[in-house]
Amino acid sequence: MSKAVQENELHAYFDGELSEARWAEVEQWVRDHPEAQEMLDDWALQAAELRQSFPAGEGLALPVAASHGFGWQALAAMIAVAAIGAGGGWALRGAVQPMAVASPVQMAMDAHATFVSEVIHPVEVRVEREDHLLKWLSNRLGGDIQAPDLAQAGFSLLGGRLLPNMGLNAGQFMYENQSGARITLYVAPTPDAAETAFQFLDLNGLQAFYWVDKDMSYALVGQASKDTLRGLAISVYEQLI
Amino acid sequence: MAFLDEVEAAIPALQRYARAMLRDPVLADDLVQDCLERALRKRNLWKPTGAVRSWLFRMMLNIHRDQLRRPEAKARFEAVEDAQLTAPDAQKGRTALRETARHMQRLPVDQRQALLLIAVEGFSYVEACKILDIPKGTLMSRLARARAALRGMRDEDPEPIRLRSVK
Repeated sequence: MSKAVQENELHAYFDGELSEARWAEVEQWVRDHPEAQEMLDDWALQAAELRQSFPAGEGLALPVAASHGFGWQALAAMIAVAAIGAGGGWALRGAVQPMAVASPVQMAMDAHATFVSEVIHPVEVRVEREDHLLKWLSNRLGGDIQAPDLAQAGFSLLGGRLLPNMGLNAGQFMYENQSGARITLYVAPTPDAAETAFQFLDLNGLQAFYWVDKDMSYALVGQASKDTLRGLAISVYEQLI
Repeated sequence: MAFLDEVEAAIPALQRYARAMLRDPVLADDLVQDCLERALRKRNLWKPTGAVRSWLFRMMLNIHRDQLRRPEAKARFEAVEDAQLTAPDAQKGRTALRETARHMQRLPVDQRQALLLIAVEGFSYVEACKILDIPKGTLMSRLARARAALRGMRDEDPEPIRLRSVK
């Protein structure tokens, strides 16, 4: 034994932080000192119990890169419910207040439910007149309204429509994939809303990712897995940025 | 996308750490959310040579420290802690796990943070020092005190139910 073992070295030994040469010496020393071995056993037990007492979380939706500071309270005032995470033990944000008016995401989900099952009139202006549709929505919503291209994900644009929105207007684009699944993108001017992260909402079998960016609220709505919808939402976000 | 993938992969661990630190899962997830937002805003400040995971942990602790400086937030966190500390232990059949979690909450936050980073999150001493922004000697002494305190609390418990086999 070259030198006495300090307690710090025992921790380093236990945590795998000792040099190899010293490691062998400490190991030998521990063999000769049962009370040290008992302490190490206790630490191992502690660590095992800590790992079980504090299990990993179930994950959170990754926020989009917001350029402004962003507070939960602002969002909580805007939305009614935020259900986050699959299998998570909690679904409601503590600070959420009952709503007096419908939030953009609720309007988006309502509009989706109303129009998605339409066979003959799913949209007001079909994709064949996309230029007209975009010019029209840009005029009525204010701002440069674009319909993102989701062809890479297998969804092609069917067209869009104008919607009422509490005195302001809103727009809805509808997309469809080859198997007939439809998703809608809701776009509504929200002049005073703070920019937000991506939020996920799962309500009555309908899912939505929604966010606020540059005075516009967006909601991508569909009956799709969270991952699929998130992929699409990211694609939308990146095209509109 | 590698950066975002790494961030996403770190979220469950960030939640665990925040929950162990704050006890209240809603406050904890708020903290993680704040951290993720700041991380994405400052992603250009992340150096590709370092690990995203320890960068995130450090950022989360900084945010928490800032929050504690604001008086109204401090009151909120403390109220939660008091409420949980004085809650009666209603359940009779306590398990060792619950005891460990409870013991952990009796440790000073500095010690708790150090032990969690090393024993639960598996960071190296060097990484933990960077995350906590403390020198190695400080980390070692917090770690040592945390481990010793947890041992001590076990011994003082009446009839502790332990995981290892009974003598």
